[in-house]
Amino acid sequence: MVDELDLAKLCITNPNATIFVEADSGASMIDFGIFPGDKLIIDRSINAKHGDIAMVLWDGGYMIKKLSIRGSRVQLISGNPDNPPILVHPEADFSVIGVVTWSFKKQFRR
Amino acid sequence: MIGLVDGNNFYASCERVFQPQLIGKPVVVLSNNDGCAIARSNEAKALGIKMAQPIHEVPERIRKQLIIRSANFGLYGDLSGRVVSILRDLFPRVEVYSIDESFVTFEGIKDREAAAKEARARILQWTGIPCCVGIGSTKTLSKAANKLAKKTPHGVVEISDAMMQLANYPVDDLWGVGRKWSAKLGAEGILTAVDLMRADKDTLRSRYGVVMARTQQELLGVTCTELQEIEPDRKQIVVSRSFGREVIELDDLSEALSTFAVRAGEKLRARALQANGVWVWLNTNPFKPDMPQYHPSRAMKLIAATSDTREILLMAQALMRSMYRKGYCYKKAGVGLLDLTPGDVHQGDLFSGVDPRSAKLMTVLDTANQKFGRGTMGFASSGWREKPKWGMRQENLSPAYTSRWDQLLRVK
Repeated sequence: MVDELDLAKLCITNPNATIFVEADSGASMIDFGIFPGDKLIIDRSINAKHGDIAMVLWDGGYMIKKLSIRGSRVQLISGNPDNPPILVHPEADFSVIGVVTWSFKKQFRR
Repeated sequence: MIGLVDGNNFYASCERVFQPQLIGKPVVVLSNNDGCAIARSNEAKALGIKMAQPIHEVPERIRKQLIIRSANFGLYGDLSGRVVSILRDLFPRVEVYSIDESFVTFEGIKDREAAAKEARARILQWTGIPCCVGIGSTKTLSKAANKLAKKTPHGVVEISDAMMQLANYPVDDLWGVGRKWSAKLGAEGILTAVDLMRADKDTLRSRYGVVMARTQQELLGVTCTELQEIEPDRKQIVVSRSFGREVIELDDLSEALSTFAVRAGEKLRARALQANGVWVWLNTNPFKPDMPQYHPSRAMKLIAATSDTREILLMAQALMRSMYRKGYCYKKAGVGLLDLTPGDVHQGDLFSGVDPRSAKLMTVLDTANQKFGRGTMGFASSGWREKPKWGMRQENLSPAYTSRWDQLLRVK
């Protein structure tokens, strides 16, 4: 049997833990290739590690940031030199919701 | 042993998954039709909001503190399906009982409590929904254990000694007992579950009927399968069954589902209720792990409350068709009616000038087509002269985060 190429199969390994969101991050993540309006796939079942781009709960809202994890020192890194890293204090209200596994941008503009 | 996995304040928790600003706030989800509370976060319960309480009866000073959401059944159905799929990966058997409750079994699982805690942690991480698990030797005991679990920080309770653990458990909090008996039971000195366990079996049967006698047996650890017939709490009607053989074709599935929808409609009218939402789920056979598995679940609100089987049927069919995928062997399906309200609530005045019956039918078709077909949004396109009442009632509706590309959560 010949399979069709299925984008969902390629990008979604755990559908029960996967959500889609839309980037509303302005210029803050452009160095990581994430632009406003891009569609992002978030897998909530992956335990985030140093260097992952993740959706986090920070200061009562969700954000997309790159994680820097050195021991107990967690920093939220932006993809833009104008946005300095945010240091997450150990007592702060912070959690990782899921890891950004893919991002999509529509190139066709007509 | 049987476990009952139950999503805490399920509808309110679903709203929080995509709206973190609701965490820690008093959230109330209202019914479609009459503005009654059908889900409350713990903070809203603490403010004294009661189940099924009309929101306009809440004093203004309290109402101002509440965050109010209209029922978003599309979202709840999606998250419910995810929870059930996760359970199917972890437990040998899963029986969906309502949109937010499933029974599971533990054959081959050595440490039940550890398995229940793992399930709870996984459901929370993967879906964002907090759950509790109650474990007991019968469904009635697992229901009671679940209620006890809600009061613990770890969220898992197993009843191993009912006489001790249910000594202070109010009898009217038991599955299948309900408030209507509590006065009579109380007058006879039956106040707790243990009082009921100790009552004379034959007297119970003659005074309260067969359901009460079975509840007593279940508390004593004797399984009475007839209890499956007890309707879920929180104003839902659910009809589900395994198919005699595996179903592959859309037409066969459609036929099976129709019988469930018709049965659900009968139950609805028998209780003089109207439904505001319809929920459908499909399951493949989990006992054939070599076959591809698919456990979709979808729900949608009806335009107006109905007890008309044709409308329920149309919506159930539309939901089923939107989920049906070729190449799977379906083994079980279910139809749920959600957000039930008393049948004397009429919405017919919305359609002045047209035959209300056909107009309603058409709008059901319209929504279904709009949601799952190629059509665009906007009920105005169906040629109505007036802005319908229900349109205004959706002002607190959260977006279709899991089912529409143009309504995705926007993240900074």
